[in-house]
Amino acid sequence: MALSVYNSHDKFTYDEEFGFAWDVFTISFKYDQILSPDLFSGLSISYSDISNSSFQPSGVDGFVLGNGMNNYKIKEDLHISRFPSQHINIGFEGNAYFPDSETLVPFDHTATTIPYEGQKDRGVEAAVYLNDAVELTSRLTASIGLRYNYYMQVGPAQVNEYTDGLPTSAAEILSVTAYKSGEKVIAYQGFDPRVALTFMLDISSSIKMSYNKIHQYIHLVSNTTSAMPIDFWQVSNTYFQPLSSDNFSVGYYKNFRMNAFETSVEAYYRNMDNIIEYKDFPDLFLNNHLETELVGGKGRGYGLELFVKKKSGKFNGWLSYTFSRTFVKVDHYSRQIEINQGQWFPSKFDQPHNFSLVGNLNFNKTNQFSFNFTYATGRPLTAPDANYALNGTIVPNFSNRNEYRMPDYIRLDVSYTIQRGLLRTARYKDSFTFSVYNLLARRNAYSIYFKRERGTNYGAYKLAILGTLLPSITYNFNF
Amino acid sequence: MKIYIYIFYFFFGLSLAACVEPYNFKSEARESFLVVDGRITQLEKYNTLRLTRSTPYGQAADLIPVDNGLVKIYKNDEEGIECKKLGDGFYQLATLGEVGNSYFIEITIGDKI
Repeated sequence: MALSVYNSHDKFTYDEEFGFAWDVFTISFKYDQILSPDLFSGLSISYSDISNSSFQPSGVDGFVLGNGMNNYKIKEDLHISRFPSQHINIGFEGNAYFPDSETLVPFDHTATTIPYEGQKDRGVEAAVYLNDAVELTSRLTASIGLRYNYYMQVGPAQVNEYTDGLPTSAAEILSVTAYKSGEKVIAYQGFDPRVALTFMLDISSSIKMSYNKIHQYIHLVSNTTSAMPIDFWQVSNTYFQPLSSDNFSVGYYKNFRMNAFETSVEAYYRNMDNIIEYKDFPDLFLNNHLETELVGGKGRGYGLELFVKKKSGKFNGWLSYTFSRTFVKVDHYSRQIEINQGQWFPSKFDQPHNFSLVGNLNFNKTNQFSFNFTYATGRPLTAPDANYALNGTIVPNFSNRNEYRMPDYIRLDVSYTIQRGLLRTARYKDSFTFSVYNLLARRNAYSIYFKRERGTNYGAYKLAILGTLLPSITYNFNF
Repeated sequence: MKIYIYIFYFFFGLSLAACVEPYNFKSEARESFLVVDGRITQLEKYNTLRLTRSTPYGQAADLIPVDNGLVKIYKNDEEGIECKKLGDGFYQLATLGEVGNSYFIEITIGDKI
């Protein structure tokens, strides 16, 4: 039996211009039981409340814009080990997604912002699954499973109906249907099969292949071009169908020198349907008809991962390099809505090169030096790449979606740990860790945004959450 | 005491690290594009079209008029009529707008239509 609680609050403010805050609260309860010698039960119940807000602290238009998500989850897993060479898992899972209302309130008593509160869509999901991990031969094992999931959007909700054959826009709303609390609005269901095969070539090498399908009923809406990149969640509804993905992977794994070195190379391909992209210049906040701002599309991704790990010795660590691409296509009957002329374009998560090097150098039993180096290609960016004059006004012309990239992300962290700090007893152990996060003091871009000061052209600005290196001291005490 | 002064300067220095700074964005827009701004009305005074060119990001967003264009206006399926150049990128549309008709514009610059 285990109970865990986690609570955190983060806040970032830039001068008097803007800021954002994140709050996370999670509580989970886990109860494991041995029902019989070959039947094991694991029950888990959890609740999480994630809320974020962006705010403008100064001026008469100072505001706090808040949203969040409450997630209730229950899962029961039965593990059956009655049959030789087989491990069967069967269970059910329930999820409820109850977002907080989106709220806008004045920052303080001097602000004249008009308060707003908008109800967000709610959804519940139930799933049953069966998985069998079976040893087919001495060299070949397989894990085969099937999951059935059922999702329902529930009220309170208001569903807009639009003119047939025209793109959804606020001007084309014909009628609104209201649903009471708990009432079914729309339902979706799906089967998610999965197969994973492992073939041992010899004692130190193997080939693994897998396929799985996933249905996801909650979408992350993220406007990364904003200077205040606040994300929020949108559950599937009448207009946002469930995201589904087919995932294929194949990998070769090889250990060397009595498992002192682990190496692997893995390739994957992913195909996605009903991913959400935003239209040009979307109005994502304080908007109770998001279907006029977002549009569904297709996605695909592929990549190759190389991994080397040295597990033991005075110097140990791991190195990984991933080449990966992710593309999106929004092909719409209305040219006004399709993105980049309906062609494939890099998604906002597309970072082709990703490199990590982690090392630990043990000088002796009590002194250890560690470092962590990370490199990643900058995320895609949509930018105003030209200007033109229209009726005496300078108008920026935006590039194709995600045509440019932010600067590459590079970070080096180091730490030095001294065991046996203050207490020198056999019973209690303690340690001091001196570390420096972002030793290179690199101002990695969190977002690039464009603004025009009065009487000038548009200028580009880089927002870095951490403007310099960050030293810290940690004291650990084990008893 | 000296150590406290060092610590104070160290953290004071950290606090000066700006989080927003100008970014040298380089546009890859290879060539400027043609901007067509016009309207067709029943009033001759406003019945004009203006051709200008865009400027890449980072350059002054000045108005660059295009006076070497050949502009033709077509009414329904009739022959196209060439529009008179007024200078500074303006062209006088050769026909007034009438409700119930459709019009389209053909612009030729050099050998490009």
